[in-house]
Amino acid sequence: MLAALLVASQVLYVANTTTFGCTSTEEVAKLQQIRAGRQAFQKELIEQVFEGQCVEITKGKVVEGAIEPSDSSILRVDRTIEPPGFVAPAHDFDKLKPGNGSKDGSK
Amino acid sequence: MKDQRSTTRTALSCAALLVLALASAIAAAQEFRDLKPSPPLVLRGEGSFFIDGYTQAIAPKYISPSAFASDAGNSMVNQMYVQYQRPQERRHGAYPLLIVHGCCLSSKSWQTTPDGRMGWDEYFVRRGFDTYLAEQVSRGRSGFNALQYQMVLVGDAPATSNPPILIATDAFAWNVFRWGNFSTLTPFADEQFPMNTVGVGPGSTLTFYNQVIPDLNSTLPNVPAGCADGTCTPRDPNAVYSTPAAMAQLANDLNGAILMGHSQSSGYPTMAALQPGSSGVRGIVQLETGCFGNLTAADIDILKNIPILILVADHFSTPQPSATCVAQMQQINSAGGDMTFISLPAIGIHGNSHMMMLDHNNLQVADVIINWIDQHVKSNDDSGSDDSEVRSDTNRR
Repeated sequence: MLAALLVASQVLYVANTTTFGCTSTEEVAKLQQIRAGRQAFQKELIEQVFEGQCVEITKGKVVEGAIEPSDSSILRVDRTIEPPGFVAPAHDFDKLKPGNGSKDGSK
Repeated sequence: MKDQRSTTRTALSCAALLVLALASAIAAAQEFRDLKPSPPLVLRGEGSFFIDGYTQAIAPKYISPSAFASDAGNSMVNQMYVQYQRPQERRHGAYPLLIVHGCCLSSKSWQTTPDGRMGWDEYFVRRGFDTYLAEQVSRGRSGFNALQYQMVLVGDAPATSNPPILIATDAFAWNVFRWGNFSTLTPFADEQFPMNTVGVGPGSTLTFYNQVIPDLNSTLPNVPAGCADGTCTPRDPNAVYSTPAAMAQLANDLNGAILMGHSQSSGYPTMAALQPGSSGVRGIVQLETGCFGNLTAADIDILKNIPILILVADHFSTPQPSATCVAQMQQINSAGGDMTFISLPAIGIHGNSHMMMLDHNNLQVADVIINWIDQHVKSNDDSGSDDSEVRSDTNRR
């Protein structure tokens, strides 16, 4: 019943790299800051995943999403499936063309 | 003489085997032997069921290497297992509790502690709450989707496309559960976790680690079933495919429930309350910590009507509440909502770990939650009726 209300017109994105989504833009900014340091980044991310503040999104995973109106660098993913969803770095995703699932070249 | 020596040797061998068998039985029965006695528990109902997942067509080559074409069919995936107990003597006006475990764990988190004491599930029942334990979709007795791994096995997908499985180690547990210093196996001086179940001290065991299991959450779809190819036409529009969605479904079915999540699932009650069509969430308990810094005005409009408790334990290395929790509390409470933060040390309860439900004083911590429920969650006027509680595995949608 609940899920029947879902998904009339989702916009789908595919992760072009292994990335993450979090429940706050502050955590996204923190992870972005340390992303170059693989070990520190992985440690922080795994702890945040463990504690439910972030999720890991593997390369190639399809998510539904929308660019945040107030910040075009942020994509809000999984709002439909796990509201309020997670905020993620928008440049880590490519928009899929409706119908055939190929990338449409836009963010 | 020969026969006598032979008989003696045989007897000695048998005795040795018996000793070995007994020693082995003692070792195997240790957890059971450790169980503490408790008075009779009187129930008016007990059982288990699934919140439906969805069916997925499976080609023979993905079933197993020895499968025949005639085996092709449908397989149920991502269903959520729930078990419940309903006490004979119900707490006046109490809504049922629906409890979900955290990362790398199962419903066992809420049951008998690793050192054999009463768990929260039994305690909440004894305190008069209908208590439902759900296993996260893709964990424990709930279903998960193995198709991707089979596709890799037969060469239809690259190995790199397999979703990662989260495996928690003992070092990870010491760090995240805040027990103390792993490198020296030195707990905090006031540590409340039963450290003798994680290898600390003479005669200790590793019993707790039996509870830690692989986490397959990354196998869950991020879009509804049938929508991953970009067509956005779910084959089964009734599919429930995530733990929060299943929790919302169950809260609706129960005509109201208090949802409690821990750690990884601490945000799930909020996610459940925000699901489309969700109307059954009457209270939210977030155990370490589950706050959201990305709520919309529409989200706040829903959450302001649901009392929310954030409960944290001791030995955090960062200040509590977190900035995200502070921001959410300000949003909710300034909108007229009721969001409470309780730090156990701040109310005089010290030494608790991230796994407070298993700590030595676990029942004292449970009482903190029950007191909050009594003070903040509106009374369930229908608590005298059982009509809403009869459950079946079929025809629930």
